Amino acid sequence: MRTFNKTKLIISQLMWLFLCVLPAASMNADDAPESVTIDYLQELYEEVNFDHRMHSDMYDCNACHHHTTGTGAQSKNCKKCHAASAASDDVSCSGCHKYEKPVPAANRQTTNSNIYHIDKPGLKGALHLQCLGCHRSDNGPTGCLECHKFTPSGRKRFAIKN
Amino acid sequence: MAEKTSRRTILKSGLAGTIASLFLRPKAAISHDIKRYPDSFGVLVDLSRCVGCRSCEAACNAEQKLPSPETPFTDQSVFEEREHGQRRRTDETRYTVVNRYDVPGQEHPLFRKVQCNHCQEPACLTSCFVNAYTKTPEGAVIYNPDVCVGCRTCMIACPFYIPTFKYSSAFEPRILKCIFCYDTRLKYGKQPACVEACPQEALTFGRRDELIKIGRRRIEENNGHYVDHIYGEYEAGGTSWMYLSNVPFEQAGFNTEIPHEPILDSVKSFLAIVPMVLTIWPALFAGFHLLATRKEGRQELQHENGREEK
Amino acid sequence: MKTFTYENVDLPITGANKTDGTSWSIKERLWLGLSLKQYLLQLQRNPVNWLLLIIFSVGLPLLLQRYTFGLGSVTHASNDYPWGLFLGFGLFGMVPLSASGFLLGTTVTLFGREDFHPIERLALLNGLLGYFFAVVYLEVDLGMPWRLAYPMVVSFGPAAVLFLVAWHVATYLSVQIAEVLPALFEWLDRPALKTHIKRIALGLTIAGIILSTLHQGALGALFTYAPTKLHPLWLSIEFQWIHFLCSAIFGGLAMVIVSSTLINRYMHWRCGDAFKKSLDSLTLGMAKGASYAMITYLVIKLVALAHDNEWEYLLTGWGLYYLLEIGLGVGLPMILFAKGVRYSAVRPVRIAAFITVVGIIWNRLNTSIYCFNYQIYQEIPHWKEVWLTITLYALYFVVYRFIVYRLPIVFDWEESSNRTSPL
Repeated sequence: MRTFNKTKLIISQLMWLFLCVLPAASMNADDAPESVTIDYLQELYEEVNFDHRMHSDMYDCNACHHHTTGTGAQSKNCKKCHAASAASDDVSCSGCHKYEKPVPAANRQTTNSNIYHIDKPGLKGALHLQCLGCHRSDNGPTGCLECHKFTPSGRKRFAIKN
Repeated sequence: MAEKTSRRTILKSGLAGTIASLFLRPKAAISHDIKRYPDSFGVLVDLSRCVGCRSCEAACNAEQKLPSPETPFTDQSVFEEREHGQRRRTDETRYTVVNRYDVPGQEHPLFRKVQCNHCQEPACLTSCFVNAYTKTPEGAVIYNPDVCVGCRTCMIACPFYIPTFKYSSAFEPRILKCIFCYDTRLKYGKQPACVEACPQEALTFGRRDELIKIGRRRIEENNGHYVDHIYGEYEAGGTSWMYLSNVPFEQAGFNTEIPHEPILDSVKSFLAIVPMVLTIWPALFAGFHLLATRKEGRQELQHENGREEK
Repeated sequence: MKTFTYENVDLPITGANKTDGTSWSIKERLWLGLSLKQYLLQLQRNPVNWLLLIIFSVGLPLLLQRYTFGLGSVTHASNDYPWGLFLGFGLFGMVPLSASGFLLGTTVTLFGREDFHPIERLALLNGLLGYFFAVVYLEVDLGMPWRLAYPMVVSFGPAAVLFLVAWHVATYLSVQIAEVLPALFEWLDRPALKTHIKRIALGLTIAGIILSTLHQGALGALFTYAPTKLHPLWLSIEFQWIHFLCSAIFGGLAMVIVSSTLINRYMHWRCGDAFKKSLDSLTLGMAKGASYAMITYLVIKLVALAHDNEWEYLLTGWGLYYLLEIGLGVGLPMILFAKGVRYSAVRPVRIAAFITVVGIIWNRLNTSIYCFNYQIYQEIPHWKEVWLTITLYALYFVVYRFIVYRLPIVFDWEESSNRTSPL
């Protein structure tokens, strides 16, 4: 049928535009995953099922995700550059903090956008450094075993008898 | 000595004595040349990050195959242990310990990891008379148990009280201390076990020069959070393991009066006089002898002259 | 033993032959010319031997324990205080007291003061045994005593002060053995062997002075390896070695006075005429030398205080202790020595010598144990360590006595000519 509804087309195009642009502008707590499985320390510890929903309900995204969710930044240092940054494609911790932390000398060869981010912790360090601060002040779990249980080799490493 | 000594005999004996002493001369006159390896590794210990989980202790124990401890590494009551009023120190079963300091004005305690600092010009190395220690190009200060005689001078010399002696062994005692995981990791450019294990990345491994820059950056960027000093940058001539702290270092159990020169510098005043004594004493005392016995010599000469005239 | 010398005209053995012209066999000389029964009787009669028996009955098993189960079984196995009494007393304490060897050797051979000859051998023996037992103490203290020769032959660490000490003590022991050998040769009826040594006597003496200067100083320099651990009043980076050398001079002289006093008093039967006649004047002579060394020492101590600007420390508790050590250990005996020399009175000199010896040991123990690690706790040695230290000293005493009883140290040996009656 030749007669297409021009308005419908415009509306649908606008909708698409809206839907495409919106995620890049900022993120919503509802976009957050329910839980995240952190499972790469499996040699000594069992996997942790991190209750992301509980955290995203209590805190702003940028409390943990620095400046990558397009919702501004809390840290003074981040604000210098990223006060109005848009959301990144990958906001997961492991997207930026690699498991294998490079030896600092190698940092000098990073790309331009990372020139400021020297001394970036690896994934294990990033998670603990980021979590423990608020856990201490807001009465979250602070003991190692309060978050992750030992595997048998973990028990052996820490000389737990019985 | 009742024998008559003629001038010739004196000179002969004096010369013999001098030559003998030259051969007997120890090589202490040559000062040991410690090379500063420019690319050596180090570790930056950030005390504000340490939470006392003791994962480093556990990892070290496993990596260096040390004996099993009395209580598990999860035991936090070890921080209460005091021996002679002192907190835990390294001993023959542990190369590294973490100690807790309750700092006034801070909600949570401060924890400090203690281990060999792998000094740039180590006191242990310079005090060892059998050359049992080596500073490797990678930065580790390692020990050779095959030449050690167990004199324990290194334990006296170390300003950080690190080397420990295996007193329990009668036939195979030795010095024990952190070796920077040299044999298993550092040789290959890999980070030591404790650094790998730390969940808080309180330990940062890298080239010593880079670590100093990182330390300075951290101090600057977190203005006010850290004490403006990298402990170990110059202490005892500079160490490979350096510390950042958010509380004054004395409150964290550090000795802040360690000189910035290597320990060997305080011994050099004596070492410098050794060649002087060896060269001057023979002539000096031969001279004294000649002076003291000149009457005898004169009498002898008179006697000889008297005999000649007859 | 004294009683036996009264009873038997042949005793004590002062020469190769008995009064009837027959010669003493080596066996007889070893047994002091007594029968087994007589020998045991004289041992029994001496109360010192009973004390020695008690000491050895506990001490020898302890020594065995140390070697079977390790140092940790007889000490507190402290990592903060790696050096204890074996080194603090046995090495650092006994070595300065054994400086008598090079001091009297120099006086007689180098300065030509033959008038000191009667006491020379005692001083040489004192020196030799002191160093020898310092090495014995070292062997008890070393973690791996079977590796004692390593710094000499296996692996060298030439920058270390201890390297110098090791080489020097080894060499100096040889020098001292050579200097005491003439007494042995005489006793063995081989006086001809003495000539070889007499030829190199001056060389040996000069070598002895060089070696002694350096290793007495080096023992002090060892403590400059721990500038953060030793209390500033006992530590002087620049002058530590001079302090130790200078105190060794008057320490050695005092030890000879003490030793000769004890021998003259309790072993009078053993002393020869020359020794007995000249002892008092020689004692005064040594006291003179010692007092010069003492005033020098006090001046250098003052210089060190000024150099490091340590005046404020004198007002602290440690400061008072320091002044006490210097005052009682050096100042008081120095005054007594001076008085004794001035008025030719031997008694104050002898008292002063005893005080000096104690003062030296006090200073060395302070430097190595008490004022060491002054900023942390004070380690108190294990009773077994104390007992073992005493045991080894008792062993030194036994060996010393054994040699002085027999060899011509404090008397002159009569060679092949007929023996005259005593007195």
